[in-house]
Amino acid sequence: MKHSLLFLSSVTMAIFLLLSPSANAELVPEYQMKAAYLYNFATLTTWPVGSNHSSDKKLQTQNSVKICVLGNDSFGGALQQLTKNSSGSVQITLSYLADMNNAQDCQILFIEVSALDNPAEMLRKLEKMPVLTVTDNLDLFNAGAMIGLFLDNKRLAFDVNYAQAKNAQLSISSKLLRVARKVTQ
Amino acid sequence: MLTATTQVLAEDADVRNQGDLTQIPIEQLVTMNVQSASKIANQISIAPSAVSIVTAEDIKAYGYHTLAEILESMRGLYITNDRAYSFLGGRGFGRPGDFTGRIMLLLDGSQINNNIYNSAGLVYTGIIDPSMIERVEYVSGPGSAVYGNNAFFGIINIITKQGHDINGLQVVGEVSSYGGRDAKINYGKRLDNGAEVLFSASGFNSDGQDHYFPAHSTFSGGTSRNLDDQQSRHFFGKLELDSWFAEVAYSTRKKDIPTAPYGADFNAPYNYEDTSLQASVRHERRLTNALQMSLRTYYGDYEYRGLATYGTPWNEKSVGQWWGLNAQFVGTWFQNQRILLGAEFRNDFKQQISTPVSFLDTDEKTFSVYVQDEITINSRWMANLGARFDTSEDKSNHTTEKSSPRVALIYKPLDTTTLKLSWSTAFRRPNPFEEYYTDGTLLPNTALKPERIEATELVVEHHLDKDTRLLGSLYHYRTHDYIKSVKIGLNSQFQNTDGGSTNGAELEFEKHWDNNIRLRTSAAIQSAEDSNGHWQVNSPRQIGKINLSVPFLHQAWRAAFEMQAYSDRKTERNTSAGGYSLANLTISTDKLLPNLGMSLGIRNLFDRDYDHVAPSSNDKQVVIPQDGRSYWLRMTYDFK
Repeated sequence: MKHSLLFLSSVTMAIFLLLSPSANAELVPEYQMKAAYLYNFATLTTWPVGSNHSSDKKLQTQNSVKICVLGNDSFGGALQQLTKNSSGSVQITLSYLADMNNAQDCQILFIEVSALDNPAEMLRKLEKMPVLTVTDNLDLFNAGAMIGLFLDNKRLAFDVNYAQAKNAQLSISSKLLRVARKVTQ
Repeated sequence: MLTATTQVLAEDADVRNQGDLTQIPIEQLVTMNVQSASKIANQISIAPSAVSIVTAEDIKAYGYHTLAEILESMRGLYITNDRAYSFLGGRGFGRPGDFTGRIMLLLDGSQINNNIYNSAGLVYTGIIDPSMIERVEYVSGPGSAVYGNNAFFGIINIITKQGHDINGLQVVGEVSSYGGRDAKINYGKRLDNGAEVLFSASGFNSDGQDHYFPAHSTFSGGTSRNLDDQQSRHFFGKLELDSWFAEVAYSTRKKDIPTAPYGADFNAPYNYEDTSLQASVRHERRLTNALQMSLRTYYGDYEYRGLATYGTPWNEKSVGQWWGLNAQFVGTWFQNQRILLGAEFRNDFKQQISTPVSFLDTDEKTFSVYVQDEITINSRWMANLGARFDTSEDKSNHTTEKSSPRVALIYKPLDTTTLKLSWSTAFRRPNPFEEYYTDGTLLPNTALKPERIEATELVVEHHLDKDTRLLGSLYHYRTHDYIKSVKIGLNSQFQNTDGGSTNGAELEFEKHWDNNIRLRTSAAIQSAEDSNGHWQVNSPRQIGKINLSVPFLHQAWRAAFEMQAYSDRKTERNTSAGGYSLANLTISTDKLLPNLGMSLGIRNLFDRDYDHVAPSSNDKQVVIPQDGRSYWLRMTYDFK
């Protein structure tokens, strides 16, 4: 009895293995998708004139956007790929930060939180700085990061803390806000 | 087979050639499916101790049916099943028949242990079906500094899913060996207003087996017939809106008991029925930039009914009811401090135990305050200081006061490495069962004092890379006034005893590879002795575990293999029960057909004969033989 159940199940499974349509034809790796989102945030956000950008004071509809990563780099080369993309309207540069000290030089700061960090404390240093803070950590988003990236039913959704971005004089395009999962005013 | 493989390879290439994602407009990106990067889960419990985590991904991959199966895969823990209940053991605790377990179980932050035995169901008695669990965290070590009474050897934090995790209607059916049938309906959704709703109803029936017990061979040939079946029902509902959370969990299970414990007639009617209801409402609010508040109110109801046969039926019933309020504040007023302040009132307003020879009706009120300060000294050093004060008063105006401090020092020599050194204490008040229960043989003892524990632990956590974690722990536990049942002639009584000590070391390694292979493995060695230096009952000196799951056929299928090995244990009769290893295998897919998932599992893959140590109440059995190889097959259909 035991063995016949096992045998039957194995046969059923083998048949299904043969018939089963391959499931994941259009799956995009999570961090490649996150990199693509960051690229869109770069093109669909306007930073204030004469802000902290180091080299060129005239930059406003940015020809060049500096994306910084704080914490672990989980992107596995997907961000480097963005910097090589010269066809777009925006030139991406990339910088990895060891701590918050040089974060004000970035236009976009992606923060990956480790267990010991104090989210509220990290964000306090950037208060009112025109840096678009992006994270995939819920605690950090709740603590006041501007954009949160979250997996939602196999899709990558993003929530926007609009009030926080406005405080920092960042203008996020309505095109972006329209497709956000949630916008906090 | 060949065609399938070729097709898969072709599609694999397609993904890579999908081209430049930056050329795709954002409106389209948000609709595309993502292959989630496997990440090692970080702890969310507030504790400077060693934490093991099992997430929904693993619950699904291994097809776990009960909390006991989840815990069995964790570092240093083991389950003892006497065919009535399952008992949790680890770090020198785990005497079978110790209903309390001395571990606090929390469901989304509310304690679910009942107020009669301090127990919480682990098998089908468990408050929640594993398909509703997002993660389980096991925090080893005394936790009274935050959680108070009964967080003695550790806490287990069960966090449930949210509506969008189910996203629709899900129907699950399962058949398993020994006449097992399981059906459940889950529904979850995030509504347009942002509200998350989740409902689940499930039922499980099993015929069980006829068991042969040589010690009972003078009665009905030693075989107990039709005395192993069980039925359970579970219901769970949860609603979240903005910063409000409400949930209700209900479970009931009836099980026939084949072993005739407590000297009952063999192969005669014997069953236990356990019913639990839990409800809680929580509100979270940011009061100021530096102050966060969490308010919680909870209600619990537990009922036990037991039937045994001693020539005539013997009926027992216990009813426990309680409610409470907990207010917690987290303040970040100072640059380098995170301060947690809390106050709790709990009213155990009904604690009743009735047997044919006794009736108890008591109650208890507890008021507690607690504080914890996480101090960042510099970028390398942190301190964590905490304490909780509990004062409780029972029906006879007897007051018990207890304070439970904890001190921890945390050092981060490298960004990837954390050392935590902690000293912590905990206590547990005697429960009504230990204090008052009597059936004529077990005598009451109203002079019982709370039992206490002190623990010193060094934990090292090292992240070799973001998806590789190594955890090591060295610990020393010392218990005082330990409550256990002591024989007095032909009778027995719960008494405060000298306690004992446990020294141990544990190592855990977890890695997730980019191709979604997941590995979790651990080893634990422990030496648990009573005050006379004797080895504690049912405490294996070595425990090893490995959990490996591997996707195949282009991530559409997953094979999950787990193995647990336990060295020999001492029985209640001072004999030795041999060590054993147990292996389980599960094969599963989400996409057998569109929307249809399937898993097939084999428990005790190598058909090992092995025994668990019997509780002392099983006067005829020293060990309880466990199940041989068994199978289960589960189908899941998602209505999208």
